Amino acid sequence: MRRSIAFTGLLAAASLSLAACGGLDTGASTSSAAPTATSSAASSSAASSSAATSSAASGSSSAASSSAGSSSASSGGGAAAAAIPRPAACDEASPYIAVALPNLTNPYYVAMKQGFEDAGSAAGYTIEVQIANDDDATQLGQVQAMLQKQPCALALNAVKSEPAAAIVKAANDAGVPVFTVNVTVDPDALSSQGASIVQYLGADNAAGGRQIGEQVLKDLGADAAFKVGLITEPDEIPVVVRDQGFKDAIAPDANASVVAEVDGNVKPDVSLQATTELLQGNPDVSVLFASTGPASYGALQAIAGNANVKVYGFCASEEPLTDAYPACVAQEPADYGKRVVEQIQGWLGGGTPEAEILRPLKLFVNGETPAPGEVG
Amino acid sequence: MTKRRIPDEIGILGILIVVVLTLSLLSDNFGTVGNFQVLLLNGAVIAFLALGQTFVLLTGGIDLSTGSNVALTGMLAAIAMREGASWPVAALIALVAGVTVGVFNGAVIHYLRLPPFIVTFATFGIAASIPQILTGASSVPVREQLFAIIGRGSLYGVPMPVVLVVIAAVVLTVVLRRTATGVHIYAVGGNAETSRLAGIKIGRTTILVYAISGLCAAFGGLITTSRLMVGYPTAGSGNELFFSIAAAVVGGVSLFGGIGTILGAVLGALLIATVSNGMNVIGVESFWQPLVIGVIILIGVSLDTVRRRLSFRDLGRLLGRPGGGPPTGPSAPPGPEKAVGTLDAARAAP
Repeated sequence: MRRSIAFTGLLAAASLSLAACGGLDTGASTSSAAPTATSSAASSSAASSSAATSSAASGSSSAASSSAGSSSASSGGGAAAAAIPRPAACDEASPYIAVALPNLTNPYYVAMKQGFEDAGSAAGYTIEVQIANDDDATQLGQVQAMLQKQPCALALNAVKSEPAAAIVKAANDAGVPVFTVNVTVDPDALSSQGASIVQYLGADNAAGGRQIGEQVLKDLGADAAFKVGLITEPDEIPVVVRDQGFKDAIAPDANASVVAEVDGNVKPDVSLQATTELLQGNPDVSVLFASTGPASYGALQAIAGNANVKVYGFCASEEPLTDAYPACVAQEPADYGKRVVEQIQGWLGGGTPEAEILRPLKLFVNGETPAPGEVG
Repeated sequence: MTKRRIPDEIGILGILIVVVLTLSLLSDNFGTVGNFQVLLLNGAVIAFLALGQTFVLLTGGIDLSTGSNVALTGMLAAIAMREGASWPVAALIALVAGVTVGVFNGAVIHYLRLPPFIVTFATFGIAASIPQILTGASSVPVREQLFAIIGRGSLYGVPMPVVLVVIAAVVLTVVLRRTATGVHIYAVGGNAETSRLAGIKIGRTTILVYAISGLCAAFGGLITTSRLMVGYPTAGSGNELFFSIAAAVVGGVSLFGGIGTILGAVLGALLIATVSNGMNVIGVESFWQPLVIGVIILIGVSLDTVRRRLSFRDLGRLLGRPGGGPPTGPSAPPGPEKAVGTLDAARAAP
């Protein structure tokens, strides 16, 4: 009896480790930029356990060599429109589209989820949305689980740009085309893993920052003297790009300068606190640039009653524009979700998706109010 | 009882003064009355959580659910007002909800004999999810303007959240030092088994401390929601939980129970609030801020531990002036930490 239990245990352990090795192997051994569904499935299941350890150990070198081979395919933002795989699921009655989003704590993604679901059901797709709670590893796991169900396409709004390359790679290996939205996937990371995306669709963040900077100069005068405090999130690339756009736009005004930056962490409570402290340290700041919606909201609460400071930035959700909050730009995440579904639909209909679609931002000024879902 | 040794809080107070002086030297804008108001206001939520956490730590437990309890209670208040409740009713609902979470924690820990870490970690997840489930993760604006009194009002120029913290700190200090319940809390943390044999109702004490922690978290939720005038499902998901534990520990509250005071926890919260305020006022790049706070916490706890190990007589000997300073009584505690704790408990007896 005892011996049979031990034997079963050993067998289970052996099969588990074999499975694990098989999973390990796919990442390192498949080097082609866009394998077809059948070949990648075969390669992952046929990966032998003995080869797994050695190929995992030499993973870095094989990845490096594959990047050289696939660099031509993945140049131009990592989009390879040449050979987009077409999984069998795309020809089913109601094709299954996998959607991976970072969180639902930001109203932005709540709206985007709605956009995907509405457009998906209108187009007759089965949409599954997974939420990663802002964790890259969780997102990878969720996407891998969805890939098991062999989707027609993956719509990916990555948590962070670099780690997302591994997610794209996993989808490539499963022969599923990847449409990215809102957050770009780092081109270097993509090419070093030999991975490729079909399309990136998102807001033109740099243009958004510029738009607000130009609006500030328009409101205050092209050579007005003022000092700016930024409420930002320094470790998110789209936000940094917005800040740069803003700085570029006010650069021609020699009398304007950015004197302080704080981290609002894309949360209203943190932004409220950081903004009050920024204003304490820099009493001469008269313009705040809040580069996320939640930061705008926190900054607005922080200046309540202080008529000397104006908040400009990316729109807080449904917050009316006033004298103290004269202008903001909004993205339309629900629209982005809808457009990604349309892009997938167009591609299934025989069209060739553009490698990059940058959407202009919507400017709101004093007296207007962004509609629900129009957020920064 | 006579004064017989250095109060435990002197060490942390010294560090606080050094930090304040340094920051004042680094920036003219730090030492202003306006900034101290902002500093206290921004530190109020952490101070509240630290007060509750102190009670839990004193019994040797830990409450990881406070951060998400802030979100839960704040959101419940906002939802109640959206549904037409007046603001005092909404505030009451939030406070009851906070206490309920605490009572649940305490009851499960006591009756099922589960480790506090696991139980409160589970409620951390539960309390974080409920507001998201209720609202689909969207925020709930507060239209009731009078609700702003809690977070934005002030009494003689002192921000209302600071007033609330001070009141809570005084009340909780009285509970801890002047009532039998306070002695029980120290005793349970010092040695649960002995306390049980001495006739202390361990279950009641355990449930009470977690309920107090839940109540404090509810105040944190009300303050956050009132300052923003919006119920926000990720409120309290930042550093609040970590800072509240750190504040209590830096302030001399032992993680193993039985030792510590409310004053120490308040000073600890003040130190953390000062450091994080100072860095934004001076304009330290945000990547450096967690590092600096981490180092300050390490230094604070290390200095306090070293100081705690030295009895007053040792300190006098080290300084080469035996018997110097305030007189040491016959009961000066040279023993290990636990002994100090039981003496503390004895001193707190009414």
